[in-house]
Amino acid sequence: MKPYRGRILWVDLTTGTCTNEEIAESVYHAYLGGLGLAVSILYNRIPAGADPLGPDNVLAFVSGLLTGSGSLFTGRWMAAAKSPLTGTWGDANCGGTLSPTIKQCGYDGIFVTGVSDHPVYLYVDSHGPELRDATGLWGMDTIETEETLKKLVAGNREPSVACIGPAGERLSLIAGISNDGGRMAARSGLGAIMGSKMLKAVVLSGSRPMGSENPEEMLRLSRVCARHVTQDIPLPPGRAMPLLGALLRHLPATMRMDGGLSIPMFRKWGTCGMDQASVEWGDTPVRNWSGSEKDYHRRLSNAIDPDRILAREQRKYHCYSCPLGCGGICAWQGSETHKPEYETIAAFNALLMCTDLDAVFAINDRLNRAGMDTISAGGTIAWALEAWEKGVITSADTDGLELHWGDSAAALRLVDLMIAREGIGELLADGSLQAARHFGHGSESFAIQAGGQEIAMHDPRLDPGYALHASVEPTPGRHTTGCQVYYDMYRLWTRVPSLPKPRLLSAKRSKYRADAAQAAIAVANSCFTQLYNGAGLCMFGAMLGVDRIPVFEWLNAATGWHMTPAEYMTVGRRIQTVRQLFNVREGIDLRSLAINPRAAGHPPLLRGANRGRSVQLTALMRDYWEHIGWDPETGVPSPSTIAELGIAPLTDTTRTDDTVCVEATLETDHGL
Amino acid sequence: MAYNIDKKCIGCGLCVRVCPVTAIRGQLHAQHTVDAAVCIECGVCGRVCPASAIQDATGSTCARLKHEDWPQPDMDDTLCVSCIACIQACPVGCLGLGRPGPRDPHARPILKMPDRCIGCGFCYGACPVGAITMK
Ligand code: SF4
Ligand code: SF4
Repeated sequence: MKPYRGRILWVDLTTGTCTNEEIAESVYHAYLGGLGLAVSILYNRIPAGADPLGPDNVLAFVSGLLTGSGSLFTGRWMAAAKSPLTGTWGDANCGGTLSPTIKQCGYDGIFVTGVSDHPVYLYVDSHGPELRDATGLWGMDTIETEETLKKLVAGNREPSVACIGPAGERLSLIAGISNDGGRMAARSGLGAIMGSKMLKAVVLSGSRPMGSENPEEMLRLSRVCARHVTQDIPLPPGRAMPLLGALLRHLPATMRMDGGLSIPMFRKWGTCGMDQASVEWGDTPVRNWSGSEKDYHRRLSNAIDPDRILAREQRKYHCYSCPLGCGGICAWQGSETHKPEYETIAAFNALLMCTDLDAVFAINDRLNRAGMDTISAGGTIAWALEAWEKGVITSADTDGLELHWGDSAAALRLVDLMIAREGIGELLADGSLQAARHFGHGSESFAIQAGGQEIAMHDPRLDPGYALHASVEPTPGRHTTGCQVYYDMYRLWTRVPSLPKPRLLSAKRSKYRADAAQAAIAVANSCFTQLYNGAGLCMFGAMLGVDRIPVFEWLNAATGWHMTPAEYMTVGRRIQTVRQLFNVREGIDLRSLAINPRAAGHPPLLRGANRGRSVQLTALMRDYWEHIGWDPETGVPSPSTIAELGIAPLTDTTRTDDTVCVEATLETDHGL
Repeated sequence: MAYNIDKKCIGCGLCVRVCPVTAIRGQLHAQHTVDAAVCIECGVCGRVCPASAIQDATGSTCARLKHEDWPQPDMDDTLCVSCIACIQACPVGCLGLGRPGPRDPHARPILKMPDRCIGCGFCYGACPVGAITMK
């Protein structure tokens, strides 16, 4: 059986109708599933200039091509739409259990358009889709919503729920979409789109079996892959991690990183295993990107010793089809909560100079319940603390609340205000750039974002790849799209011989050169990222390296195709190019999406791990655009690239029912 | 493709009661029908039919099987990677996570509600590493 369904569901909330659309085989060949499928459809179906929070924006929930095929690490689902935060192409990626249930309901994706006049949720099971009244759920947090819905629709099997909390309902531009108790499709502000559409939740309860064309080969490949993940490698105690970070800082040369080493750390601690080491190494930003490990020194960072976090973990949490289990379920205030991730811990500790682990657990739980992105929330609060320090914000703006570095209680209070959109939280709930534009006085200079989205907690001054990808990607401000270390880990040269193999050891300064090799690496990262987003692969799985995680081989075995790794990389380039064309169609000046200069080392830090380092961002961006086949000055994909990739010209931006709907509509049910 | 009920059906309604997705409809003592668009091909209707009236998707008649002889999953914990694919695949929700061990925090799946298991083998088919046998 094919690993894809060949069918998507359209839900029009204005008319309350659900329709099926058959997807041609050729679309999967050209775009796979996941984000590839999403962009191939949304590029045509979201009209140019659509209000991101209006009826014309289309929000897609898509499952990866490999989800359910017998592969591992392939349970990621993705949401995509025009982002209300950046005005660009927006997408977000999440684990949990939604991806398989989309397919178990008989679809590769669910596309939601229109606006409902009252709160609704979408329910789908083997009998098909139904819109139901969600008035009684409006106002509930994400955990309450999920628990209530699971009781309400109780059937043979437990459904998967994707929902918004109060942040999405209140149209916070940094709201995300929650699944499985607080796993979050956090970025691009897509939760606000659900809020604007009055779509409280998507509840999926299908049971159709999934599979692949060649189950024996899938099993053989997966067994070999699993062995790379589950082998027990003894690791030092958590207190040794900062020493490892300091060692990396002191080494005169930089090493080619092997993801085979980070996988055991993720297995033991999860992403929080890297927090303290990353401060020492210079990867974690300190004091709104103006400090270093000299300010947030080891005595402070001991608060986030990974063993202290692990001590609270009750059991490991695995997303669907994941053999690693980097997540964890922790006891928290008489209930359970997801273990805070690296990003959240970094954003609410080193970035704010805080040292209170309980506060991090509290903030993490509140933001998960509210359905708000912890990266953007932390970045925005860091901006607020600096604005307070500089006198841009005063106690008149905060109703007397004082905002000092290192004050976890103030950070927690700001989080609550942002969720409630009360007081200064009304402004902060839309991110640092919006707030800076309101308060002025040059405060945009320390809103550390790209295209309006706060960048994640990885310092481009340590790895310039982060600056480049945050600036050139069609979804600005993102860290998962690429960096130099990811390239090391993906080991693409083992399958695509034309790609450069980094040296085992190289001089640190070579990282900061803007040359053809850096451009080739970055473009390969982008193509591979979009390829694995089409497949539904988890980035941590990808970090094993493609000679250990057989993504290309899985794709061929699952589909029965015979494509080469280089051809799959071209699929990635096609997806990336259509994402960029979406932004071109929106009339966005692509150069304007570059990250805040401070994070790129302009001016450079005077002390600490990254002192004196600046990223040649303009040159890197130009080289990247040229190498991927886009105009080097403007970032617009060239006509020859569009032709080479076989991207059909934009035909019609309005969806007409006779071209799309192939099955009768199902009636809505507002009566629940 | 789906299961099918033919004229031999005596309308006893046993299949209606076991179908996990309510794909079967019919009046008592009248021939029942399977909604092909809903059927997930789990096969349990065929195992309970006393009249040999049910065919699988390939057209072969299903054999009745005593409940205690229905196959049930057995997980090999040395192969299992805790990926929950089996739990997700189960149409009747009879699998769940066990308790993590003192030395291994990765909980493994167990057959939590053996009485509910319909022996469909979806978990077996879903396991990426072949850790499940149907016994
Ligand atoms: S095969 Fe399973 S899903 Fe299909 S009708 Fe029979 S019991 Fe229902
Ligand atoms: S599908 Fe297989 S590997 Fe995954 S949890 Fe179930 S038995 Fe274990």
